[in-house]
Amino acid sequence: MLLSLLILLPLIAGIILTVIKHSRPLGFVGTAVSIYCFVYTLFLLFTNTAVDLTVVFPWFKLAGVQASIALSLTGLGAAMVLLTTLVYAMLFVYFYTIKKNYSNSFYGLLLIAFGGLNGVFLAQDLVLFYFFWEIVLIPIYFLIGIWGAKKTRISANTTFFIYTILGSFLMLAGIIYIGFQLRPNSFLLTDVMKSTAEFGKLQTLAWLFLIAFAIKIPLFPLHSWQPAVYKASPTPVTIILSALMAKMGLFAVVNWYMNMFPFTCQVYDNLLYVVGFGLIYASLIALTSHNVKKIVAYSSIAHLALIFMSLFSQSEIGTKGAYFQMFSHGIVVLGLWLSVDYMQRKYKMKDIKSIGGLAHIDPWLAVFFTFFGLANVALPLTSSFIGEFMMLNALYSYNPILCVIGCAGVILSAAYTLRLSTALLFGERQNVPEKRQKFPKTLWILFGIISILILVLGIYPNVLFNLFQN
Amino acid sequence: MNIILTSAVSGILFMFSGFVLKDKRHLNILAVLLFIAMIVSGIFQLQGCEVFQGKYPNMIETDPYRILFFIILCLIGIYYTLVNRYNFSKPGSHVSDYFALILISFVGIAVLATFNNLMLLFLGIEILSIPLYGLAGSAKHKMRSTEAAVKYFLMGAFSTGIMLLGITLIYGATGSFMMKNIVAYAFDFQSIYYLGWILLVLSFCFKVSVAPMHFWAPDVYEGTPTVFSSYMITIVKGAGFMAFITVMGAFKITSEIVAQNYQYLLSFIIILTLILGNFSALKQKSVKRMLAYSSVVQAGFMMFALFEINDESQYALLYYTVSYGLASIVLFYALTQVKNVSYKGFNGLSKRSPLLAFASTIALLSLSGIPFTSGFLAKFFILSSAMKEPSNLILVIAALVLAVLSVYYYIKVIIAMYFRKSNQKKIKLSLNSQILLVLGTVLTFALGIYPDLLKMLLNCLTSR
Repeated sequence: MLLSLLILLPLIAGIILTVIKHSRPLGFVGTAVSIYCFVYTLFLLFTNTAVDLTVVFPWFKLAGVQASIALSLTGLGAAMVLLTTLVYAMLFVYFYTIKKNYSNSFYGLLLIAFGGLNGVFLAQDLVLFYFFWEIVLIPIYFLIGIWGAKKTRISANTTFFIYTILGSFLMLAGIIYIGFQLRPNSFLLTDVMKSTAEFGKLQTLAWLFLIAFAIKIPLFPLHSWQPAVYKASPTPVTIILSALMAKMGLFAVVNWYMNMFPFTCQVYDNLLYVVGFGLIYASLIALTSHNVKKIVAYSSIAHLALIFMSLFSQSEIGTKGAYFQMFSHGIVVLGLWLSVDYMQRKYKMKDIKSIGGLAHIDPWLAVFFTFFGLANVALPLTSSFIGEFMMLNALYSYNPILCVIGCAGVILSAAYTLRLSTALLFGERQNVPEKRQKFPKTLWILFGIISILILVLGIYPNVLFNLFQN
Repeated sequence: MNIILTSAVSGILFMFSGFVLKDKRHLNILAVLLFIAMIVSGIFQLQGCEVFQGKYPNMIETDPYRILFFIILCLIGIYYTLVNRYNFSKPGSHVSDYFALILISFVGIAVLATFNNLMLLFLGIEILSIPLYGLAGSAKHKMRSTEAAVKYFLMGAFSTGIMLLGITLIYGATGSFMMKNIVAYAFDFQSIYYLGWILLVLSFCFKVSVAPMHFWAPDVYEGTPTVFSSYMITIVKGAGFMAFITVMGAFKITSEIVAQNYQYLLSFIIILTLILGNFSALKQKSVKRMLAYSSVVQAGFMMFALFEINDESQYALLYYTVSYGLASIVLFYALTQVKNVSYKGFNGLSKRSPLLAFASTIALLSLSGIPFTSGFLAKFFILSSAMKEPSNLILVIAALVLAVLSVYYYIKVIIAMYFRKSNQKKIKLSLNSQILLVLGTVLTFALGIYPDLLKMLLNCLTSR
């Protein structure tokens, strides 16, 4: 029962913050809630408490098929909840640091999305999962629409909404088919797995789910909504989109798709080639584009494509690596986006040509940004290295061509990340103040924590591996 | 018989109340009281306590499902009356007449809720429709309203003719009007009965405005004064579907080929409705006309309940009616509040009236079928009731993909309300409507989160 607190607390706080009229900024409520959720998750995961980590309640019954409120904080879901709460806590602390006051509804909508994300990672019932899957979309939609970039927000936002709704509706058709044609005892994952296993080949059904998940990740042919949205949305939303919502898609593939349709895993070699092509394609765009947000967005597509490929490599090491990388990518991308946001605010950065030579005047920012960039490249000692190494290793034994594609992606990622940091940090000073700038202490601490996390996970990855196990 | 009597008496009472009650607010209260009386008489009828048995007891029956449907429609009617409290005087000054027409059309609904005979079905449909022709033309000084009334009347008469012909053919084949005699008739593809049955289906398609008989709907709903089109697309449509599902459920289709044809016919109607409705709605500039087309689309979704008629699909239809009714009443209320019913009229509504914008947003999300609102579960229930046949998966996928289009034109209103600015005047809502808008939103959420709420209410009414 206490598990539902992770969903209900942000949800209720979010709704209250969104609805009430209050002139004073109430961002601290969001900060308190997210930090509390983070600590609470840590407490649940790393101490042997008596709190039951699974919850099942009957909800409603339709044509003899029971839908229930089933939550579980185990395995990959637990790691993802930890990531969500961590990212949210950092994000809200960051708001405090830069003293940027959005209106209360902004924080409220962020919190509603928070509750929805936790729900997606906790839900063990197909209908409940669909509920949370959709509800994350609504606050994000309003966040982009109201606070996004002036010119493009409406068109980008509409594309985003329609795209994701299309995927969700296809999934809904799949859920209805499962529920009322295959007729499992209930919509619980375990029951659904039983009934899909009995029926054997369910290709069409599997595609319905895969398309929905692929749009969210996003994978190559279905990715076209993403760069425009990343560019148009305010940076906090971009962070949530890339660090968390993309993981929703991957998590759904692991927790739902692979469990429900285990047979299809072998059939999808051609799909992996397409995804691999998407990886190279996205990396090349990242290498040539000038907009910083666009570069990070495409880099995100490339990394997620690699994770997706290794999930289907059918080896334990690949899956483990992919899980690890899902967590690590979330943290690294958080660091990258926060520093990009800081540069945008302080130095009015627009694209990589607009400023240069930041290292001369803001050395600490340069240090941290370089570090996050190197983590993005998967340098040894950083957490990404562990994940990427395992994934490439698994891909090699599965299909060397895919491994070559993956490695090319890693090389390209080095190229565009270094291009980015060279252009911004080094070289001649350009459009930046003459004097040395002060780097805020709190930001120092924040970036420090992220860096330490990246290092710790890179040196002692077992912390996370143990988490996946239980 | 209870509900027919009560609603008839209510209608007559209202015709004369205009002489006595000069204050228009009192009319509103009287209408609510009469609705409550109808609900109470319905409950009595459910519990087997009939005031008046009648001379031809076989012509009407007490079918719990339909009586419950009637009660639910009365509840929606109460909500509708209260929300639109100050809107009834907008089309013209004869408020008591409008109420009388609405309550007389409820006599038609009551007849539809109890008929056991095709003649009574015909009577019910007529009693339901004729007051609506009057309501459609109630804004006498407006051309559009008159046009709507004429169009509605002509088309209504046309479809009534079709229905009558269908009933005649069925009578010719079976020699009876009684449901229990005609449904026992095992019909095949060749018989005259089959033709009658098809004509009956088509005339119902007209009444619930699904393709290919939907063409009248947008013009009529747009031309009718907003407060009455709100009534027509929620309660009247629900009543039409109640009769439709009863008639379709009563026919025992024994022949394989007829059953197959029925499936094809329904699939054809649904797909055609969704394609025509969605693509036409996409192009509209006026929100009111868009909502008119969207009501065609929603009716297309409600048709899914007719694939396999059993308890689940009947319940799904009821749930859909409630959810759609709540959302539409709120949206049409919003239409009466904005000066201009085009998308531009909604610009910046979030600043001009946050509550109205919020309630409309929830209503739109409910119509789109977003979880946590009742609209999602309504879609879920109604689509799942059609899922007995595996081949229907294609149909369900097609319907949902077409529903994505509907999401597009719904969010266009949201975009106008929240993301666009405007310097139009602020809208002040009365306390009454504020409370009711909040109530509607809360109900939408409550039904969307805990759907058994409606089932609990129904159980509560039927248990002795």
